[in-house]
Amino acid sequence: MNGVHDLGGMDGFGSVEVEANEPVVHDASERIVFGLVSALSGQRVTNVHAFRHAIERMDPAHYLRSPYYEHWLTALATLLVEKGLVTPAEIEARAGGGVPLSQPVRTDTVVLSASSAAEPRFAVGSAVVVRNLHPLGHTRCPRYVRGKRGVVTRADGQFRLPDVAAHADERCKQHAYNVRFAARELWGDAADGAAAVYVDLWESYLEAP
Amino acid sequence: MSLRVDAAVAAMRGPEAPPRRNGELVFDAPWQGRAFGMAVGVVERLGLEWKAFQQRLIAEIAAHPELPYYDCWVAALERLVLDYQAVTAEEMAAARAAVRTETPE
Amino acid sequence: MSDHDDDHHHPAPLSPVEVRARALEELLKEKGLIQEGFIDAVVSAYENDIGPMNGARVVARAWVDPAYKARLLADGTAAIAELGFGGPEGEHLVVVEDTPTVHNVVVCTLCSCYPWPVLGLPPNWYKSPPYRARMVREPRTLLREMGLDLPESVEIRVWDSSAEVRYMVLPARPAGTEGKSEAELAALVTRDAMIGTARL
Repeated sequence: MNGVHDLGGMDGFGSVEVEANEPVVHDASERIVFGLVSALSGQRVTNVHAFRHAIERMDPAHYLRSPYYEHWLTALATLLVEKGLVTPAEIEARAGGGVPLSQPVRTDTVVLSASSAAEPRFAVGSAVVVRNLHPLGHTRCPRYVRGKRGVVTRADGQFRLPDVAAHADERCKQHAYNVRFAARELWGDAADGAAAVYVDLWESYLEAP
Repeated sequence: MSLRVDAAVAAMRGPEAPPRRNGELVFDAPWQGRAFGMAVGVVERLGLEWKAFQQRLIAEIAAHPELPYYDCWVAALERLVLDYQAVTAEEMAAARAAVRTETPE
Repeated sequence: MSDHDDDHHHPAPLSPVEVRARALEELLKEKGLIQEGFIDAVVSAYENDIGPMNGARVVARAWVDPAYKARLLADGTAAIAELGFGGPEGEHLVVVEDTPTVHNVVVCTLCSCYPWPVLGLPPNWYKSPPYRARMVREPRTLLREMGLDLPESVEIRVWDSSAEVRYMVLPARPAGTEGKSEAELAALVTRDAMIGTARL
């Protein structure tokens, strides 16, 4: 989905604030939430793809103003409710107040042709273009590379396609590649002429130019 | 060391948090690392919660904000072992005198 | 001209706080409140087992052993496993090498993907919107703001961890470190240099 989480290239955020003496773990709740996510994944209640998509579905203002671990908490609560394991009322009673959940999933249909060809379609050195796809569901294709031209630098083998895995039990694996994009290809002629961005993309995100 | 103390140390934040650079603990001299290890050891050995040490550290920093961090750490540790009567003030003084005669000042 | 001082090894005078720290240690040992070796074990655990020190050891090994470095660049996952490192978020590790003309930096624009087995947990700034938004768009400017000024003659490569691969930067070995041991070299390596927001 074209969510606010897809931050690559956005302007207006100001400087990166680096905490001096930042503690290794900020909050016990971080560890707890991570443990819960792992446990739920182990029991196949959810997987990392659905979990990430639950974060992506957060209300945009909530996403931007909340600390990172609250993204995890929101996703966890949302998935537990959506799986029918708890009710919102139960969560709020335990939490002692409102716990905003993420927006509902917009689609359960898989938009991409989720083929799982055994042989990789592209080779190192192939020129590729990123397809202009804007799925309403989960994807790992950042907006800032869609429609852009790049060159394959690595072929990494087959991995489960997140666009399917977040929404269906179907096990669909596709080849994934590392693609190099010149900065000027992404950001125009005024961009740094000596910079490049390397992005890892699944085969169905790409096509030949 | 126990996970309980480990988690408590890692959760420290604000002025009482041990100095870190790039996420790693920073000791400017070996004695600081040893003071760190001593605090962990004593808390565990005496069966205390980490906050028994932490509260004394916070108090030392508040009372002496001009002192370097691990100076306050040592003072907090001295306070802790005295308060819990693990050592007496006399023993402390004698031990310091012994260290001074071993090494020039 | 007397050089008798050169014949004696004078231990450095201890600062008052160091006197107190040593006195405490002697006392606590006498009373059985701390055991021999315990302090060393604690310090070692905090300094060596927590996240970024794993990556530092990998980097130091690569600096001293060219064959290991070649293996590390060819297959990061297998190479770090040689040193006993691996696990979640490190099953597909790619290590990218800094050179005098190439500087690498890692980001995850979509969330916070990070190579846990070698760097531990990501710092807050790595997960923050300004870092995730700006590093792919204006890396040279952002790196300068973060304290790393790179001339235009240095190519910047930004790695966006958008899939299963996790990235770690192999920083260049600093000049003047010939003759240092592997452990001494590892102590020079910082987490930020392995993310790419600093050079050593």
